[in-house]
Amino acid sequence: MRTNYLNKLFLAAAGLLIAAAPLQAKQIDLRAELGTPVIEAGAKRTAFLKVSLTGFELQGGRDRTPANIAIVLDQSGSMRGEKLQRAKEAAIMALDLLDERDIVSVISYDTTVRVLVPATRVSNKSAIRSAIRQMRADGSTALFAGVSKGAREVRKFMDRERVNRVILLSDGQANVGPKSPTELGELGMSLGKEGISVTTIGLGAGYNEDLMANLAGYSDGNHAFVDNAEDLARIFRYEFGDVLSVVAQDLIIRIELLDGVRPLRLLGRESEIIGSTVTTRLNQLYSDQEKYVILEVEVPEGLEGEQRQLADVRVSYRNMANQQSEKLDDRVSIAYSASQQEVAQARAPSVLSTATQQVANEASKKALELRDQGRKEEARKVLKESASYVRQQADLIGGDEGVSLESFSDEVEQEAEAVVESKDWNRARKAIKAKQYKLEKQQTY
Amino acid sequence: MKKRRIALLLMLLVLLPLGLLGWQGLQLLSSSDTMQQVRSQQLVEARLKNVDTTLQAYLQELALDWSGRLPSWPLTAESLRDQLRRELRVKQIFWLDSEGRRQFPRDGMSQAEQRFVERMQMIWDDPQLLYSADDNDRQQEVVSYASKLVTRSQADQAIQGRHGWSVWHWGAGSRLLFWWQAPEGYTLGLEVDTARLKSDLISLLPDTSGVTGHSIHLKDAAGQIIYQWGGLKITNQQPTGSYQLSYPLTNWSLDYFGNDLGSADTAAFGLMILLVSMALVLIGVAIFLYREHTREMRLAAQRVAFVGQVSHELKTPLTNIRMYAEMLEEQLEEEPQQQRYLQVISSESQRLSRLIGNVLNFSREPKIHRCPVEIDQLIQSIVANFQLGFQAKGITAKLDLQVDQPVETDPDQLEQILNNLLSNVEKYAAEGKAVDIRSRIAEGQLQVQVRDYGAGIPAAEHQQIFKPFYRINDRLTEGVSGTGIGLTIARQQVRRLGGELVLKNADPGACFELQIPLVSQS
Repeated sequence: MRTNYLNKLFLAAAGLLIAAAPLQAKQIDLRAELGTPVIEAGAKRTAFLKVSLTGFELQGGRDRTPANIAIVLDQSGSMRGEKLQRAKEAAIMALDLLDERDIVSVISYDTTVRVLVPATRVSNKSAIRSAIRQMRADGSTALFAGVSKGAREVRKFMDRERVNRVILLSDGQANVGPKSPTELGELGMSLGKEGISVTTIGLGAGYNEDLMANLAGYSDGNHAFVDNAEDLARIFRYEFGDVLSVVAQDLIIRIELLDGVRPLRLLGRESEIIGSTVTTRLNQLYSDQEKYVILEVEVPEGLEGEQRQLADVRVSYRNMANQQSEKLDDRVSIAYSASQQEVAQARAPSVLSTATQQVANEASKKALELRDQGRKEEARKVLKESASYVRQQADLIGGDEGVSLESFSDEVEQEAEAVVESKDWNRARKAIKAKQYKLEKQQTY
Repeated sequence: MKKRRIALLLMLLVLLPLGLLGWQGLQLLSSSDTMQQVRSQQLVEARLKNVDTTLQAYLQELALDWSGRLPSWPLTAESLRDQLRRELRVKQIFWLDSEGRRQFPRDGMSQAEQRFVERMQMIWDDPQLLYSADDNDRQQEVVSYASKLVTRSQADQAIQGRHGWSVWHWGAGSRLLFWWQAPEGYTLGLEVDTARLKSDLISLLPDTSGVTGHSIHLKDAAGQIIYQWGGLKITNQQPTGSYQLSYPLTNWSLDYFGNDLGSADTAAFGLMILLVSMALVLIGVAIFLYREHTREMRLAAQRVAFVGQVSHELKTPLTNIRMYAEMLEEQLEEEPQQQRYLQVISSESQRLSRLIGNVLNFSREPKIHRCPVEIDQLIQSIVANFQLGFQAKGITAKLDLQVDQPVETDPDQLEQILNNLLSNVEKYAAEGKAVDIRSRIAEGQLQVQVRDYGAGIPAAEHQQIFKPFYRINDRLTEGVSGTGIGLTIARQQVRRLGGELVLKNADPGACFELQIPLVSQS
């Protein structure tokens, strides 16, 4: 087992402990940072703790992780015409990104499910292509069954050394078999535990974005809204790019809060809070991408100059470069100061910025709920407040991060208007949902 | 006329066996159809049962897996939560101590755990519900099956404690719980993740590729279709068969649509093929026969035409012979010897011309030329013509002629008729030594009787003698030359004149009566 040395380099003002540079280059990077490493003494304070993981860079495509992908395509009646044609083209294009190391299967579903290509090594691409071209649009949408069969094909070559994924394309409401977002979420959760992520691509304005986002979210896949079928190929390319750049899998992040620090809320990813322990998991980490969780904590009051151990962060994961299970850990502490200036200087803009975005994202979710209940004005109000909160934070943080937060605040403003005035709310909702998802999961596309 | 009859006959020849065969086939089909229905019902049942068995096997394997692993789970909240993170098919875990008190989840519960505890309040109130929920027997069945599996595969490692399934209806759906009770008395329970269960069941069942003739629906306890497979398009029809799944999926069901199991269609198809090929063969035979027949007919017609032609050609020279013979006879009044010879010549040539007349009559329909005829005179002259032949055979002709008025008819035809009748007497009834010829008008018709005293005609032959080319086959006709068309022609001619030629009873001998209605002058 590889040990990581804590390089206790004190950034004196920050009082922050950063994970040591690993001995070997090919390791993921764990960072646990506080937005405010120095807080004012004398009162209870809240602070944002950001735990981020960054995948190492892959050197060329040669040593990438092999993939095990099930492409599950909707061929219900509503896909007829250009949509299905584009979907086929996208799938065929994506096939070209794979090679003999990879496993692929193709499943189509309408009222029933057809396994067009059972899980097979990608060696005979022309046979797979012709199977994809066979698809004819007709019937209803047995989405649950399609995913189940896709997962089954993935299971045939289930292997921790591969990236196991179901890529689901749908343009309609699931209307055969289980169809509630909750049930699809449960399925996603179970598949996620198993190490299978489901990426859901919603096409057009007919699908149920809650269901699709749930399925992707609980299994830690990606989710995208594709308004125009022409964009399918691009989205498929992004998705396959992600899949083929996985550098770590089965990541479990465990944050143990120390010394009387209490968890308030976790922003972003789904996680489990039991007592003072917060556990969350990521199915995979992509090359050169950062994934993080933001935890808002309540820090007990302290005396000036005091240092407090705030949290122990432990991460276990499977490194796909060497196929070893590895562990990382980090410890975060917080300092108390009486000087406002010291506190301000110590602020970590990047942490605060992401935290702000996640807080705004929570507000956006809340607004969506209100809008769903028909309470448009309240939804707008929530978003307006959120926008001004973001702007306020932008001013506070300043610099580059401040500028990007400013523009983010503008987006929130736009959303506030869209909630009330959008002519095509159905489409707008899908776009908002996809955006929330992207932010929550730090999806790259 | 005749041709049409033949065609009709041949059509009958084709249609009758086809009809019979078709009817038999349909009879057979309908009986095999009912049998098929019973059989296909059984097959549907068997297929659905097979599906049930597959699903049961999955649940049993699951139970076996859990009951094998649960005993080794450490009983701390932390490790149970750890297990929960790993278990793919478990939504929640609980632990009851030997007194039935809930130990986990209890303190510091997560939101999900809290919801679970609220949901399952009934169990915490009365843990016995868990062990006795729903059908006890089935539960035992599952347990014993699982135990058997264990003893077979892992003989030494007998299963510890007892375990079973328990179904909880909660809200709209039902939840499946698996429980295992340790020999020490504590119980671990697992709430099965329903979505995952459904997904697993789906992945066990076939997909639609290759299944075309039927469609099967799997429905959960709420009656919702979970999964369907098969290429049959269903439009609001009743299922062919239904099947209730076994415990613990008791309220789940399978519906079977389509009737692809019976080969009734193929049997009907086979019958059709048989009928069609049979029809083709029969039609072929019929066409062949028809063509053969028409060919024969054509040949016969040609022959008849030829004979007619020849006979016609013979008439002229024969007339000349007769004429000159008669002229010679007049000139040779002094020479009785020569005169006798000439008589023979002229009577033979008369016979010949009668023969020819017959043949011509037979081969083509003559024209009727009606005119008033003194019947009695005509009869006398005809009989006179036969006098020589009668004398030679010793036949006495007795005339009883009582027609005192001219009758509108064709004398040539009448002569030919009587010629034929008398020539028959001469030929076949010579041993009677006498012939009676009577004529009269009665019942509005002319009646002429020719009665001989010969051997007569057997009753069985009465109908036959008028048929063409028919000759009574006995000693009567032996050694006597004849064409066999005499009576046929005679009757034809009588009928052409609007009358009838009948054979009357007479003993001894035969009596032919010629009946010709009198035509009113107008």
